[in-house]
Amino acid sequence: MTKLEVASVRITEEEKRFLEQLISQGKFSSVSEALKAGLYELMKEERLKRVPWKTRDEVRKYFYGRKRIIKGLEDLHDEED
Amino acid sequence: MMKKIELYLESSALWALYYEEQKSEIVEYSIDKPNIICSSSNWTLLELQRGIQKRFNQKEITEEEAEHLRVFIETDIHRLVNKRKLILQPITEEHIHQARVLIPKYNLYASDALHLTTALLKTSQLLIVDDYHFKRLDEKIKVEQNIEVIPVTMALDDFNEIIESF
Repeated sequence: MTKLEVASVRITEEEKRFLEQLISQGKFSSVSEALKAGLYELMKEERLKRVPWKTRDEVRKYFYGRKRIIKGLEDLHDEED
Repeated sequence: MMKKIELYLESSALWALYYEEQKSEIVEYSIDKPNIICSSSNWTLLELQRGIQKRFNQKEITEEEAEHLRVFIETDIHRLVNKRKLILQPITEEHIHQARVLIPKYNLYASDALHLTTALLKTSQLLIVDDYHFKRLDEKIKVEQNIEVIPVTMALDDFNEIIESF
């Protein structure tokens, strides 16, 4: 289980109102959840910078010609035969 | 005004967007076509992750490539969802209940039953799957369920003929 830490964040009244509005709209269950969603976006962007592809075509080209041991997602089910 | 078409992308159809050598024209086309409403299931996200892991386990890709694929696919799917080009349906008790009924009825694998249920509950008219799943599903369900199963490798012209027939 991931250990959770506590962090205090100072925000303006306007920012707080905005977060509360998101919660009242049902988009998030708490201020904490709304802030974490923003944090995840930043983390995702950072992780994406390390990925060598920008488009789906680039991904396919990168793996083109790679020896395929598994075809598609088919063998996800073979264990049930 | 163009008629709206509800289309369900099984996990293998979405996988074809990223990793398969043969590009799926019809999946790319459907995602970009405003009158085709593409949906899939949250379950698909797990199957895609497992697909990557299997390739790493088999040494088909390196650990770094697996991590890059995970990040890229996850981010790209979120982009499609945010742009409203893809709807990810949550799995509910109703899905589980209906999937349980479909397993003995059509001798389906659990995952196929869950996808088919999600497609049917979304009243999808089309279900896109890879060739392997197509062989497994098509004959079983096309007679009784009001949904057409389409292989991911179908030519775009043939796909358009089907779209226009609705």
